[in-house]
Amino acid sequence: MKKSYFRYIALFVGIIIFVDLIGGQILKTHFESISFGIYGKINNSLKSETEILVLGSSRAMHHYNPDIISKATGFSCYNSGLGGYGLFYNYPVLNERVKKKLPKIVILDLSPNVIIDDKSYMKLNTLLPYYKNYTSFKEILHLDSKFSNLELVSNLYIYNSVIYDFLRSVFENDDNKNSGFVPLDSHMDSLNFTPVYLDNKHFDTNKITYLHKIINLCEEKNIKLIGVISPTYRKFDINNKIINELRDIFESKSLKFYDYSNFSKVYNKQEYFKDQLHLNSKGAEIFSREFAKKIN
Amino acid sequence: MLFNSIQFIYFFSTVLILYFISPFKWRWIVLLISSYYFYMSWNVNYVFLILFTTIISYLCAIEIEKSKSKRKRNFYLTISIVVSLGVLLFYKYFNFFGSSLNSVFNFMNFDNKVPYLKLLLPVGISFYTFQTLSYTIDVYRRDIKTEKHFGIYALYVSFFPQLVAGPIERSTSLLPQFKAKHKITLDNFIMGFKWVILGYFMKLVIADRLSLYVDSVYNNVFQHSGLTLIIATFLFAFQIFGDFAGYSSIAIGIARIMGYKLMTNFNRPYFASSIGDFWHRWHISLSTWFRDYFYIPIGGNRVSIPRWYVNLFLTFLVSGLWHGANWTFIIWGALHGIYIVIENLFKLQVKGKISIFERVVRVIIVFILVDFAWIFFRANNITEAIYIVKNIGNFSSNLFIDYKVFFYGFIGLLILFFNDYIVENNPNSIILNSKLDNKTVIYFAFLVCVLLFMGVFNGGQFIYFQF
Repeated sequence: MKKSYFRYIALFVGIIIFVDLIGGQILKTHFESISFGIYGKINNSLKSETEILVLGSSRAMHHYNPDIISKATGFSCYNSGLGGYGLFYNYPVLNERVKKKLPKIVILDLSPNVIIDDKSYMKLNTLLPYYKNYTSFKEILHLDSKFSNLELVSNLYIYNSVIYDFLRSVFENDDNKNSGFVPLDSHMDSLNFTPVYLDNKHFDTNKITYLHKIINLCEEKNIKLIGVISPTYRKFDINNKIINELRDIFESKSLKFYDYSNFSKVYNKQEYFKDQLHLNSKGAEIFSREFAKKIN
Repeated sequence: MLFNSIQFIYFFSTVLILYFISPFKWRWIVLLISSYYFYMSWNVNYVFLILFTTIISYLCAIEIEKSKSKRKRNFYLTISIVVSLGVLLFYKYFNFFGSSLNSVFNFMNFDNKVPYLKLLLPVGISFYTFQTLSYTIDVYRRDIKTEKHFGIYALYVSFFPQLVAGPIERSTSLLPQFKAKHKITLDNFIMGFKWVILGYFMKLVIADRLSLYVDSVYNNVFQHSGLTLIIATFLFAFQIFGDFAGYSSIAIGIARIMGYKLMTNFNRPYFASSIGDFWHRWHISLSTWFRDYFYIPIGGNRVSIPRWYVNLFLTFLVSGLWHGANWTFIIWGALHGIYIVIENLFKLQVKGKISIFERVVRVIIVFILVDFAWIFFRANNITEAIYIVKNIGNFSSNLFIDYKVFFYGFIGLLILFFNDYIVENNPNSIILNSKLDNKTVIYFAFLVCVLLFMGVFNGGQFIYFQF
């Protein structure tokens, strides 16, 4: 009886190891071909070779139209903005990008919460698939206090929740058709407006450190870095605490910093916003045209 | 420290090793220290409350047993109940009753105001309070002898696998187990491990995945169409099942690995063919607690028929209040009370064998009724719950679609249905006992792979921790 138990335990462990190894290997081989969802966006960002690179979170992703910027500047442009992922994602992407091909200009969109202490560490473990192949992602994952090297034992775990993006990218190549730009349809109505004020929040020192790392990297590689606060529907920073902090950081390094948070062409106009923090496609077009003039 | 955290895996592995290498006479110390450490990982200050409740109920039980006169016995029982319930009422319900009273005062133009206190609800207080209450009441009823060993009694109140979210164990079942010598056996290990895997599957693959959709809808109800609200409510039924039954399953499993048998808390509730049947399958340790310590003492069914219905309704109403200090929970309890009264009034319970067709129809109707009540359980407040009920048939705006949640959620629910269907049709199924065969081994290895590949590992707390 006992012998058979051990046989079953060996079978149980054996199956898990086998599936983990084989499944992990298959996923590893095909992972870089994923072109849909979060992983598609990161993969495409790492592969991009454009002269202008837009970095940021969802506001970057929805606000900067690379076609408009390219036409206005004559430089190719890729939008690497990714919803929910701020500086902790922007830094390793830029760091890996410069190893491959130096962009001439980096536009860093600074969301209202870019240096605010929030829950953004919780999302870091979705970057696990990049841990082994990209050194820049390693240090980022270790910022999450809950991260443990135990998480790297299982290949299946490393590629956790990847299969959906993989299957979708077999059928469609969604995120790359607009060079990373994702336009938003429809406009906000009064129902979905609840004012957000961030003045009372604390700054996250890790985020400020990574903002400085991006600045230093651009300085070191002679890349022109532009800091931008793109338009918001209403003011989020009543006392300008966040804006002043960001402006100080950029101006102390003699870098260009543009504050479009109350950009008059769209400010307070619901028809140009999907919600209070995100421009819709019409708003993005107006903003991209206006901002493109400032790039050169 | 959550069951679904790396810290818990380290903690439990250490406890397990210490437990089995310790001589028998020291094992209770290992478990007691571990349980208090586990509890303090939420908030160190909580420990004084649980210790206070433990000491009072321990001393009162001894006095109840010692006392010859009924007056004295009643006196000590009252002290125990007042202290245990008093702590619970104060921490959990003070602000709720205060704000409700203030609304009444406002309405009557009184200037008096009940102050709002900044209280942090101690984790698991409702669970361990009920466990201490059942103990002193059982001693009072002379159903059990008192536990003289304070350390063992303190362990009964704080046993870490079931401390923060049940199952609510009875002293008759759990206390003797602390005195029995447990050997590490493959039987216990395998059975416990199966329950743990199933529990993690339910929590990480089902509950935490579905919560991504449910939370985004229920936290912005005014922005969503009726169809979206229906889908979110449907998914919430499985989210809460996966969350709570998952926790119970992990608790049962880790206790079993150490040799302890905890009571089954869930028996595939969505296969219930009547509301009564549902309550024999959902949170069994709580429903049997209310049956034994509330419903029967207020008369149960040995009263006039109208009074019986009142007793049934009251039991569910109080059960709703137990879940949380919010009118939403009270309405949720009241709805189940109404369901059960109607079911008894029209004698709608299943009697004898029924056709498969009738069974399926009944299961669907019971699910719809239970799911409707979940609206009140999940809604952030009563205004939002009423908005959902009013707008659930309004399909004017677009359906909110999260393909990723639907994709992973569908796969998870399909596996859960397969698992529960097998066990429902064969309660002695190999899935939940200590036996193994090739098929079961492959099945559980498959579950672990699904867990690693599809589980949501950065999800939040277990829902029932708030109660």
